Amino acid sequence: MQSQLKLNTEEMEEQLDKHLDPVLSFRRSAALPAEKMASLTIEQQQFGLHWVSVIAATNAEMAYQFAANYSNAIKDFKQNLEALESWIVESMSAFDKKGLQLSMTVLHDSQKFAENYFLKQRGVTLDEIKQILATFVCGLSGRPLKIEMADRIYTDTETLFLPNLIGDYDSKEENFLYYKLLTVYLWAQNWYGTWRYDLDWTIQSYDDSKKALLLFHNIETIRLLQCVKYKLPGFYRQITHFLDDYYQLQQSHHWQPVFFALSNTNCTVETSINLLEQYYSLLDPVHLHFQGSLNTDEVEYIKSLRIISEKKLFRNLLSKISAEKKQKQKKKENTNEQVADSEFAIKKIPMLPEEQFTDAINYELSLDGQVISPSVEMQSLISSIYQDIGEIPEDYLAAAGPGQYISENDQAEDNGDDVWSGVYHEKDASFYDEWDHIRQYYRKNWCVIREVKVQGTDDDFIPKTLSKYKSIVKSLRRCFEELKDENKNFKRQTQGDEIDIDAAVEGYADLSIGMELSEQIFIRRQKEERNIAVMFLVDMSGSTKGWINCFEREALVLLCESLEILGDRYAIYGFSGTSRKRCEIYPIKHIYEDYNAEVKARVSGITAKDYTRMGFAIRHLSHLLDGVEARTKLLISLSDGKPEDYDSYYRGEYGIEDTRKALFEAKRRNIHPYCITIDKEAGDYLPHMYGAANYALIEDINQLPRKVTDIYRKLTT
Amino acid sequence: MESGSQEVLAEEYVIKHEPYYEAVNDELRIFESAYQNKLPILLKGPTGCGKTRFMEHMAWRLKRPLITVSCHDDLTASDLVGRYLITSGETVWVDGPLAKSVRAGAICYLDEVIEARKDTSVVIHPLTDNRRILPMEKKGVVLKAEDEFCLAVSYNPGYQSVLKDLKQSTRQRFVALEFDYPNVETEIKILVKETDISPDLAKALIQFAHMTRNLKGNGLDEGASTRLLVHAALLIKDGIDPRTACKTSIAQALTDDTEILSAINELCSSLF
Ligand SMILES: Nc1ncnc2c1ncn2[C@@H]1O[C@H](COP(=O)(O)OP(=O)(O)OP(=O)(O)O)[C@@H](O)[C@H]1O
Ligand SMILES: [Mg+2]
Repeated sequence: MQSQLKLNTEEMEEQLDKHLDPVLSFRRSAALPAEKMASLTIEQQQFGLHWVSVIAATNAEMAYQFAANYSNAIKDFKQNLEALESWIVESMSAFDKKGLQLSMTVLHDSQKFAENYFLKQRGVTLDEIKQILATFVCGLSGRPLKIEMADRIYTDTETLFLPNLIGDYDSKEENFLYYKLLTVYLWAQNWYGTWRYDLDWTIQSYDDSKKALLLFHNIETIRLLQCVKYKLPGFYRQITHFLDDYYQLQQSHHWQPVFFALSNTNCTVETSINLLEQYYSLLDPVHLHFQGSLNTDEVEYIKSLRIISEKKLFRNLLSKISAEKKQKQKKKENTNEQVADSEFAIKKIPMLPEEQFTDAINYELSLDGQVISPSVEMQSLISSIYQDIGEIPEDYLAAAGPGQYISENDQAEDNGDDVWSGVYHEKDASFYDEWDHIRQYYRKNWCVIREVKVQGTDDDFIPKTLSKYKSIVKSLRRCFEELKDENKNFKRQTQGDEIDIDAAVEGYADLSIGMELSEQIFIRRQKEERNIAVMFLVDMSGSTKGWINCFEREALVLLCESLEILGDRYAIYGFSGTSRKRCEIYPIKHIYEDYNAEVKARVSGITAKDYTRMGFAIRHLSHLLDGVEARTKLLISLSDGKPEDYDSYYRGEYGIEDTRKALFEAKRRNIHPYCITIDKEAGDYLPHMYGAANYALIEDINQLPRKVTDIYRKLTT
Repeated sequence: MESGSQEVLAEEYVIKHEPYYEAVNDELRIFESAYQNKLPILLKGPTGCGKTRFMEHMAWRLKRPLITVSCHDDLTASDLVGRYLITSGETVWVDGPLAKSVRAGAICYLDEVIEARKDTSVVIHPLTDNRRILPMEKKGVVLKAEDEFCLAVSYNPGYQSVLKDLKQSTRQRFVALEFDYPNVETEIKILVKETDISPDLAKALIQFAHMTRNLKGNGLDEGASTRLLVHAALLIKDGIDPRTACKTSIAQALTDDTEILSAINELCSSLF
């Protein structure tokens, strides 16, 4: 037991000597550290001595360095012992990982460490709150926006880029609020049409284009804040104290006319462009800390890609609608004559004053004069196009020609046989039919499929994933435990723990009118047997290469964790291949196989291969599932795009129709197919293949791991 | 086993005052037409969008008693049809709600019909095709439905569970009415009428509801329903701060996930 009295220099040196003896010599004594430590409070002294002894048990030299720097560190850490402790622990773990050299750096750098520590204390990192912000911004209107980290604050119209850490304000709450300000501000650029205009083009026409851009940014900021103030009054009240610079601007009489011109919430980006022209020579741009920068190059690039793909998608959707109409017409009129092409029109419906606050965009789409109600997908597409362009241009309305939906790839049929003739063999293969929708028959034994072994990878992928998703794993566990332990009372059983009073009374009544007493008068309490067998079909096509593949594997790890708890029987297979002659299935886990080290290695070893011919994979798994005894059978595919193969005829409609047929066959075998995809265009073909309720689109690939398990839970409860 | 509620006469289920219901589409006309044609009706739609209220309103409009059964996973066919009970040594038959409705020519509303036990289809099926009969197995008779009798069931297709789906043979018997959240204008009207709050407050609440509805599929299974808005409006009218009211009566009702909750609360505080 150490004494409770403050130690003087000699006493302190005596104590230190005990621990530091191995590294002390004639030239180096504990006198200096002891002298410094003698001036500390009792509590600080004891804390220091305690850690000297702990560190010395690992390495005496490190303990000496600690003792020497201890009293300085106390100042750096503002007497905060908790902070000190985290610094000490950090230095020890540096020693464990990288040795003495690095741990010394940490020990000597107490000042930097302390600054960082306090910054983290009050600061907020993007990682901590990314999920909240992403959900928050998704609740605001418009195209879904992602949140990512970057050195600059800006948006490319699909992602909001925010700093890694904000710690300039005094409390966590304030720093979070600042994140919220940045998020809303960047969202407003997207929603209120900052990017609807070809900015570069306008800006380049000024002799000082840099100044023009900065000035435009200021003006636009004023406009956006007006809109935000109107739409999100509560938010605006919360953040006023961040807007000092902005209010100063408002007070300056140079800027007042600009504020005045923008005080109306009907102003658009054109208003700002006009104001720029008007005030370019009169005003100087100012720096407003929250507005970040306008990254016109990146926006133009992202926007141009999106506009092209959305235009294509939009026209494809239209041509599908018109094709359906034609088909119906033909049937009705019972003719084979060419039906006249139909004409689309789109009209913006003026909004009722009540509705204006929702910012909804109301469109009326009509075909040959008849109003049609657009699908959810069509609606969000229209909304996104509107965000970019401000209207639906005429040329969007000309439906893509009749052939175009079928494929952009409608070339001559490549011959798979030729390509593989050299190495090709059919040993150990199984054969599956394939559906040819054009000829409306099955091509017999068309696909040659083989189960191919996956080379397992023994690395730390599984533990890494589990620790990356620590909190999710925890909540998944809890949630699945609950599912599993769901005790159910089975009433009206022939045997059980208790009498079922209702049944007994009823039985008694039956008895007394001369009927036979039913035997089913007990309540049995039992865990309801889930009796579910599920197979997961994982897209291993070339397009999943890189991060998609990584997220797929992570998703599988979380799934396995959860399914192990539930006790549902499950299997995992990958699929890919090149041409009908080389269709490959990669077993990751057979249905009766345990989730053992080999399986784990295989999960980790999943790599991207070739193409996505889906039909055969679904048929093969249906066949396997058919051999499993279970009340409910599920076939869940994880995919990143629509079916396609090296055989060019398999792309487009052929592949879609074949897959659809395969799914239909599965349903007939009492298997529920379900598809989880990250393909944004999935709404275009998946409802047709799987049925509207049988697929889920995950927009943000980051969400894949957590969502997959969640979807599985919902599907089976 | 005497229970008070079983003794109430079907006539007493008659709704005397007009329940307030704001028509969203042509559902009033369709229901009436189905009713006149003796077709059973299926109400589809998310929770809290006015299905129950609509049924009450229709019952009042058609001047028929309304008998509602909330289905649960222990609900058997004999719970619907009826059973023998013993009172002072004698067996007495007691009609279940379905038999009562059939006899009285009432409207019988089976809420969340998917939850009921599978064997209930044995009684639902013959009642919902043109036979319109209720087999009473225990008594060895069948009841022929009065002309005024009408069966309506509800279910929420939003839950994608493969374990709970309405069988084709069941669903194809019904005229389906699809319910969804009303448009802004209608929803404002509903809130103002139901709770007497100002249109401006109603607007703000609906704007908040839209934000949560944007989150459907992105963290929430469902957005805030009209019912939740009514709840929040009532609390606010009672003097509770709007943020607190939304937090407790809307956000907490939607999810337990702390991150999603924080996001929803941030959305809320952005508005009020
Ligand atoms: N069209 C409407 N007219 C009047 N009130 C409505 C309407 N829609 C919703 N409400 C309000 O919403 C509340 C909830 O509606 P209701 O109880 O009918 O929902 P429900 O669809 O039956 O929900 P559940 O599926 O959960 O039973 C009603 O009490 C009423 O206040
Ligand atoms: Mg109801």
